[in-house]
Amino acid sequence: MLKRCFRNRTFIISILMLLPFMLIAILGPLIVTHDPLAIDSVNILKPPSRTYILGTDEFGRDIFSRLILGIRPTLIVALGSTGLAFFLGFIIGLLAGYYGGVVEQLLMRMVDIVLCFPPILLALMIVAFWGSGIVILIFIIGILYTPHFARITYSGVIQVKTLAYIESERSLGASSFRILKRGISPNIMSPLIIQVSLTIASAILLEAGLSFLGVGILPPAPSWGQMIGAAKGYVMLSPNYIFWPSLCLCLTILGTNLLGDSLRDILDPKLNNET
Amino acid sequence: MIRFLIKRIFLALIQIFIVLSLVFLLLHIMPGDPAVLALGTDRTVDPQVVEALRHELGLDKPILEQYLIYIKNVANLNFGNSITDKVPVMSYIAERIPRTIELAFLSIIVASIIGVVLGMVAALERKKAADIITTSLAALGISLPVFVLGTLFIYVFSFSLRLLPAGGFIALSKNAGAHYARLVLPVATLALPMAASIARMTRSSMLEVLNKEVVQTLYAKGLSRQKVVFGHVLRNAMIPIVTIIGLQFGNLIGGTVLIEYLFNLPGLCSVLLKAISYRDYPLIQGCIFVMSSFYILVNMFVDILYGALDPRVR
Repeated sequence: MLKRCFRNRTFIISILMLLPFMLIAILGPLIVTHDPLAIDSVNILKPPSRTYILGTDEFGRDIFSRLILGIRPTLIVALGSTGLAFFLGFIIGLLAGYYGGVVEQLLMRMVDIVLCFPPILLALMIVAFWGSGIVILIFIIGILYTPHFARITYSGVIQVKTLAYIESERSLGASSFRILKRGISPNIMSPLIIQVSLTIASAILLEAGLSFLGVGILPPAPSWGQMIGAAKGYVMLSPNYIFWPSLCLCLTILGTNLLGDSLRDILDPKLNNET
Repeated sequence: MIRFLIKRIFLALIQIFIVLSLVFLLLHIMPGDPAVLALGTDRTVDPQVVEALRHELGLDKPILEQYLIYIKNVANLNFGNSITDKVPVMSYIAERIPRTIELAFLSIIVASIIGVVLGMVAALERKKAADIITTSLAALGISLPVFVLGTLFIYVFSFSLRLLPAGGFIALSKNAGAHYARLVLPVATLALPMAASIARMTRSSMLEVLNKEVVQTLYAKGLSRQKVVFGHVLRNAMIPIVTIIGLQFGNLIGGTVLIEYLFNLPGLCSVLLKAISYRDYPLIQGCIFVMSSFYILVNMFVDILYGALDPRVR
């Protein structure tokens, strides 16, 4: 499995793109040169210099340090919400697909409700009513992407559950729980793993979008989307202020998308629909 | 077909009803009193003022009664008055929605044309330079957040080259040229990432059909390449392409929120953002409801089109 991964060129490129960001996220506080919240009112919107490697923002805060500490909230929200979506969607899809009938109708229609809303609008509405912050963002984005996982799991279960080896497992006296855990789950994982990487990319994008609008991760804590939102007013004065967070954001999303593409090639050569 | 049509329209109505109820429910289970929050948390609010606003918003009635009144009002397209300036929410929506719809439709049309053409070229020129360039650009395109792309465009085309205005809005009736000049950058920003997804889908869908044996038979029959590609391959490849264009509408509405903010376009989404910052609940409810309904109706339309293209779906 790992061997197949490393024979895929896209996979290696995506890992090389993502690895530095992961490392910086973990080592962040050790690398920063300044307090990301420290205001230096004399040096506002300064170009890169020896003290401020990438210059300063509109409050004289160090862009480099904010950039580095901005990875964490982004990754926490992206990974947390994807985890939540996977967990909820997987359980809903398993139960709905395996039991069918009333359970299926109840669970799958409940999931469909989320799909009635354009994603960012539902997020905006919840943020408007309940306020923002990392926990709420994880919750909202997690709920938003649950339907995708539920549907993929559901269609996987439907395909697998009528196969002979599940029948034989049941006739040997295996419990429903055992069949779901040992018989079905491992065999429907591939499309879900692909979906995980695509969802992480979407979640990063959504979080950045909300932060850009000023309703995501709350200031003064740094996040890339929010930095881009603030910097857009100073594009002419200080182009490098907007350049770095934009570049980091694009690279992260590109890396995650490429990872998803390569996983699709590796895990499911038959699956060809790129959505 | 008629049965499918009725079923699909009925489903859309149910979805709209669910949206309606959820918008109501979310407001009422939120922590805190909407009236107090709307009046601002920074100063101590006079209880009498709060009581008056509660009465005005109907928050002093039992919740079920509020719900029924709300449904009745929405059925009459009455979303109440904005808290901040007492203007009926509906008049805001009526004024702003044409702008948002114009932006959305122009973008999806541009995106579809660029996407389908590039995707076809890539599929027909498989593994040649045109294909490699298109697929790499498409991979880049779907990873580019619209607000980053938009800022880049503003920087390059407005500030550096001074070719196009960086945003704002001028009514079509006042000056058509200026009106469209202000739409070029927003539409391009919204359309390009969508075109990337559409191109990817078109490419893989076309390749799938091109690899079928039918195509060889068609060539063997003596049909020209043009006739095979446009008459048969594209037609058969169209279903997934229509689907992805429909799916893009979800992203598109999210995109318009960001684009209107970035380019200072006074559309419906910018009203929504302002309403959120002022905690103007009737206005938030109205905007979300209208935009979600629009989304649901577009999805319905796409499904019906899908049914018309592929009889198996019905």
